[in-house]
Amino acid sequence: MYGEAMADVQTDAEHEVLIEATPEEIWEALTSDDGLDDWLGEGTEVDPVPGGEIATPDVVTDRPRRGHVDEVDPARRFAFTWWPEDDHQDRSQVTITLVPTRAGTLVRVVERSIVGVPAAIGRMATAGSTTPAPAFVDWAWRASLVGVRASGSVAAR
Amino acid sequence: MNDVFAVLGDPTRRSILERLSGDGPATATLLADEIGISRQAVAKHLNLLADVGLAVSERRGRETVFRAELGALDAVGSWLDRVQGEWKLRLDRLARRVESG
Repeated sequence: MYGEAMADVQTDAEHEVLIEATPEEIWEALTSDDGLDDWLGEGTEVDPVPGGEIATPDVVTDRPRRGHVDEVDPARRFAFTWWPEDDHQDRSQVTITLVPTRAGTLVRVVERSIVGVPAAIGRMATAGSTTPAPAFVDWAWRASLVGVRASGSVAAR
Repeated sequence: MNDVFAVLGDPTRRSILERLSGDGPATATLLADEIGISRQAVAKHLNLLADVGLAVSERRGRETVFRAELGALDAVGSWLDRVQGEWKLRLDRLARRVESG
């Protein structure tokens, strides 16, 4: 049967990096006003509570973004939904998790597009799956179609 | 590209695309037989796939056949590459701050 095997996977942009610091130190840099200014850009405002608003110049793309906080679990997990200020439809969910290891803390980011996908499609697409994915395209599946190996997360450092 | 995500959010459409990609062009009638849904439903899915450029229709005599056009999926790959690249830069900035402090 076509389709069933791919029902529990989704397209996530992933990136992870090992930082030589404790999860607490990274959390401070990740969520404090001062830290946010450093990594997201001067003037970034994040109210770090569920539902809290996000407004940032996002220096990396130089395209200001807005959003709201979804989950705050200090030193473990920070999740939010955001979109470019000039394109409110282009929403995606970001989950940043901190995992302590011997060498430092593994910082893992997953960004998933939730663009233009009605909840109904998400439910249909994930029926029978344990993954509550509101939107996805299966990257591995796409790769199998075109016969190339997918590159998933990018190992850093 | 956004529409590609939405269109591929449906498992039946992914089945159709996979079928067209793997076994070559087919008519809506043949696809309906193989997948086990009505021809009308298949036609609707094919139209959506065609709208975002994932399927292309061609006349062959009296028949209309559809073939997969996977170029549109490159947009999905581009999105992933772009977003991953952005996070590499953001996390590099975060790491610099933490490791210098």
